[in-house]
Amino acid sequence: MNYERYRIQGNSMLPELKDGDEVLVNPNEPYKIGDIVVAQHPFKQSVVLIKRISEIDESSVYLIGDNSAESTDSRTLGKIPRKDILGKVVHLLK
Amino acid sequence: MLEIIENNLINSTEIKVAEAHCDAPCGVYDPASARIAAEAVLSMTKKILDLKVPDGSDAKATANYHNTLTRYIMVKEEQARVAKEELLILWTDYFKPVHLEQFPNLHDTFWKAAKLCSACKVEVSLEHANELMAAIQEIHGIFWSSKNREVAYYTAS
Repeated sequence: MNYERYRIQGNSMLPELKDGDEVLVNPNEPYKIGDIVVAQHPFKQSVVLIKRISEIDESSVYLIGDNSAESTDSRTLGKIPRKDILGKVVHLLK
Repeated sequence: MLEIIENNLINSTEIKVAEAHCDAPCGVYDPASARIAAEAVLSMTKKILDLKVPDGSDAKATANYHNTLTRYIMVKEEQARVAKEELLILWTDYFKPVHLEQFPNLHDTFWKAAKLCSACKVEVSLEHANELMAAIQEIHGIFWSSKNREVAYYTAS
């Protein structure tokens, strides 16, 4: 199994994911609208985002934080290219 | 069974960080980083324009000319890219809809500045390099004004 483990920093995915929660991410699992994914930040190479998929088209996805008042997401960052989606959240560890 | 798998994963998998912030994690912004890159673009543009083409019969001088020109172009290209990236970070991460009320030309100012970065990459244009510097000076004013701070604009060169 090629899962990756991420710790959440921030409040943009409240109430489902809290600051400090850990999740397992499967880089190979297909995703759909409504899934939570981790993605490369479009302008900061060292930053990985975690958001929920709101729309999908052929080449990109539109990501929104569940707690939209405290989220910087596709509303300001624009659509995220599919190649920058690093995987789908498949399990909340704690 | 699932619990055993989960425990193994917890114990053996490296933990990475996924940002669920409402902003860049560091929260540190300053138009100075774009200004420094734009100054390098202006400097390289001047140097390219000032470079003397050598007599074609002097092989060593010709090689030096091409080497120097290439280095100037590479720096101009890279620093124009950096300036654009720094501007986009300010535009999309720092500035919020509320700032638009205070600075109605915000989007237009950033859009034109980003376009100038691209123009400076494509061309060898002193005019556009100077316009980019002027745009960044304007952004400096908007940025510090949005923080209610008076920070004098300066250039390194």
